[in-house]
Amino acid sequence: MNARLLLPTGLLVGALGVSALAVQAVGVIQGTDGRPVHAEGDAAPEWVTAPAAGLEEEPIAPEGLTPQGTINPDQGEAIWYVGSDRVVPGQRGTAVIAAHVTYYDEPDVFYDLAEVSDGDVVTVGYGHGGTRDFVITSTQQISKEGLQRSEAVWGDQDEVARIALITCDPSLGARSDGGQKANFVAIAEAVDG
Amino acid sequence: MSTTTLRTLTVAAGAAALTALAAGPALAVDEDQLADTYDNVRCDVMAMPGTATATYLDEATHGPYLEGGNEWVALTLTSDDSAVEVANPVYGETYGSDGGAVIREITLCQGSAATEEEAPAPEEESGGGDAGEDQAGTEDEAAAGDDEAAGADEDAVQADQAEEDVQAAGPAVETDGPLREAGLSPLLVGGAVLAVAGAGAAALGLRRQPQRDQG
Repeated sequence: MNARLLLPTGLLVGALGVSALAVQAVGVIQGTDGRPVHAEGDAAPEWVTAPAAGLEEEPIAPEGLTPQGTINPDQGEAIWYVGSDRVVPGQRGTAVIAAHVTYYDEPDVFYDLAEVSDGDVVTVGYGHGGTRDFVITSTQQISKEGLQRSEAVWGDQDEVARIALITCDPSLGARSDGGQKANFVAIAEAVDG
Repeated sequence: MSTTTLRTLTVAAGAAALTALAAGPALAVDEDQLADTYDNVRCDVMAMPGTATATYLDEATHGPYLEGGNEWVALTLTSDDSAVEVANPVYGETYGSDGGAVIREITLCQGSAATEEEAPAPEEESGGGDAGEDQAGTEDEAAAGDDEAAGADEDAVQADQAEEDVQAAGPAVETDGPLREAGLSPLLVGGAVLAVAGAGAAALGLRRQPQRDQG
């Protein structure tokens, strides 16, 4: 190759490489920009207990969507979701509580959620010291796409205080990238309506 | 270094460049193109961590990102092999990738309706005047009434269709967590290879240039 062309070619290739690195860096920076919506107050739920799932006064925190439009709690954290017209756990309507099943291949908060079954009791504790009991009325493995259209989770109802406890589920297998194809959902309804 | 070696090095660098570009996400929505239709266009690109195959547009989450009187005008879900573009995405809807592919990044574009030049007033055959305008207005209303009657069945069908389309929708719940600490992405590796190869080729070029000049 002509040596005269080698210098500009090298500079061009080098610039391409630097551009690729810059794109990667920008993506990483932008991906960390979260703006969850928070709800506060004494009546806000603080913990959840579900003996069948091995949960004992597990702290729960209000959290909205990631900027990417997904529910994605931090590692080791259970959240109650404050968006999509969902309610505070305990209010009439449907509340969503979510946590990871595993994280970095290690068991996370909802690792044993799939152990719950109909009739099991779930208790939510509040900032003012009160508690409220819920009973599991159904459990389901559902595809991630199916969950997004689930009437039991996202439908509008105000007849009963309902909680949808959600995590991921390996029952439908994993995608080629390692992510699971399904969620596990346990629906619980307040004992006193 | 022989000419053959140099040629090989250059070809390898070119191949690496193509590989890195191919590994990157498909091109997102064209901001300039949107600017033809909307004012104050701004697009935000966000990397999508995890394995989400859908995104949910939520007013509480995404509303604060809107500037002034802007509204969302386009959403692009970019996967490894394809990109789904949605015009005028609305709150409360879930938008999925093509064929359930994992979304690598989403691009949300906002803008406001372009200010159109004031349309010229329609010419009035009657020559104007309040009475004429009233009459024209009455005729228009009558015509509209006829249209309404004619289209009543169609409206009913559309209403039924809309009712059927109303469906519960919520965001994807990504609760499987990453499998391992984030590794090196192809883009990162490709970029590093290109940068090194480019620097090497440039250095070689610099070294050979004086030799040629002297020779």
